[in-house]
Amino acid sequence: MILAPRLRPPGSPGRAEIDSEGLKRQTPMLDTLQRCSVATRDPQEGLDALTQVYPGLRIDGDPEGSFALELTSVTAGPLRAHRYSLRGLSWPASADVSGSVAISYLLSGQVTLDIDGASSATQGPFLHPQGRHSGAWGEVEQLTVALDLPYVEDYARHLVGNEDLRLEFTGSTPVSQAGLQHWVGTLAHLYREVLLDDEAMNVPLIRHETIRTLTTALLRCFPNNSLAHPHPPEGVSMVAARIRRAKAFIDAHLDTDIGLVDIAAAARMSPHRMLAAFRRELDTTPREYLRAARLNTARHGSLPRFPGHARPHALV
Amino acid sequence: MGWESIGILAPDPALIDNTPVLRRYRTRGLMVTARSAELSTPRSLEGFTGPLVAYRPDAPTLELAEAVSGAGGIVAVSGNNDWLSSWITAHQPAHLAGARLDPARP
Repeated sequence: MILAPRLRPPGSPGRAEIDSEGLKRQTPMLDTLQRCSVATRDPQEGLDALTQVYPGLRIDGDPEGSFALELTSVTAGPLRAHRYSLRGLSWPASADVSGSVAISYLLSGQVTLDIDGASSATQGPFLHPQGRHSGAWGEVEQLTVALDLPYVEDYARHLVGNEDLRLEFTGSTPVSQAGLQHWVGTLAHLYREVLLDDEAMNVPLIRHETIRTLTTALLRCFPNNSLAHPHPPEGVSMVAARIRRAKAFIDAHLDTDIGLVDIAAAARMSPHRMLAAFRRELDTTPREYLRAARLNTARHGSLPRFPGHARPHALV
Repeated sequence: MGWESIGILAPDPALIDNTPVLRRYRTRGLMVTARSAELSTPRSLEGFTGPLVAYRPDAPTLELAEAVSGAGGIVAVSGNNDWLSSWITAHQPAHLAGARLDPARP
C-alpha cells in the first residue's frame, strides 16, 4: 500500500548539506523535529493521513472491508522514518520517490514491487526505485527510512573525497548478508533507542550523528557507485581539496576585488568553515593568504610595466 | 628574492605599531618602515631595489616612495582617496584589487 514518501524537493528550505568534515553546513531544518501519529479504523481518514504523510502516493481503488492503520513518523532535517501497520486492505499503489532515498523493512507481510515491468515479491530491507513506481501491499507492518537524495549525495562525496561524484544506486537489496545485518542492526538500534526518544532527538549532536550513521550504513549496505571509489587515505579529507580550490581561486583573482565570501563560495564552504580550515590547515586566514599572494606577485617583480614609465606601479 | 627584498612604507610609525599585519611582515623579514617628518628617505630604504609597498599612503608618503629611486616598483595599498587620482594619472598603476580609481580628468 504505502510506497516511500516523496520528501521535500532538492534545494527547498530544509535541505541539509554536510561540509568537508561531515558536519551540517546549511541545515535550517535540521534543527527541527516533527512527529506524526495516526491510529484509525476509518479508511478515508487513513487514506487522508497517508497521502498527507506521503505526498507522492497514489492509490488505485477504494478501501474495502475491515481497515486499521497505525502510523508513526518522525522527521528530522533530511531524515524521515515511519513505521506503520496496516490491515484490511490490499491495494495497488504508486509513488514517486524522486529526490529521496527510501529503504523499507518489512516487519511482517509481503510487498510486491513492479520494477521495469517485472513484479517481484520483496521481503527484508529493500531500496525503493527512483522515480514513480508501483506495487501492491497486503497486510503489512513496515518500517521505512527516507533520506533527502542531495544530502546523501553530499555525504557520499565526503566519504570518497570526490566532489564530482553523481550518486547512483544500482540495486534494491543489500550488497551482502553482512550488509543486510548491518543495516537491520543499525536501523533497529537507532529507531528504538534514538528516533523514538524525544529527549535524545532534541540533542542536536545526537540528532546529527543519528542521521549521519544511517546515511553511512545506507551507503555501505546498498549497492551504489560510491562503493567503487577508493576511500581517501586516513586523515585526508575534503578540507584539503577545498583549500586547494580556495587557493586556486585566490591565485586566479589577485587583480580582482574579492573577499572572504567569494573565496568561500569558490571552495563551497561557509565563510566560517573556510576561515577555520585555513587557520587549522595553513595557520593563516584567507585574507592573509590573499594579501601574501599579492605581495608575492610584487616580490617576483611580475607587475606590468607601462611604456614611458621607468618602473611598474600598482594600486591595491 | 627573499621577503627582505620587499619594502613597506607607512605614513606614520604609529600605523605600523597598530597594524598587526605590518608587524607580522616585519617579523617575517620585510622592510617595514615609516616616512620621516622631514620627508627624507628613511635610511633603511637607501639603496633599496625591490618592490616598495606604500601602505595607506598620504600624498607625502607616495611622494617619498617615488623618491626611492632604486625601488623596482611602487604598490599603493590604499582606500578610495581622491588625492590618489593625480598619482594614478601620473603612473597609470595596474589595478590589483579594491575599488577601481580613475585618473584625474584634465
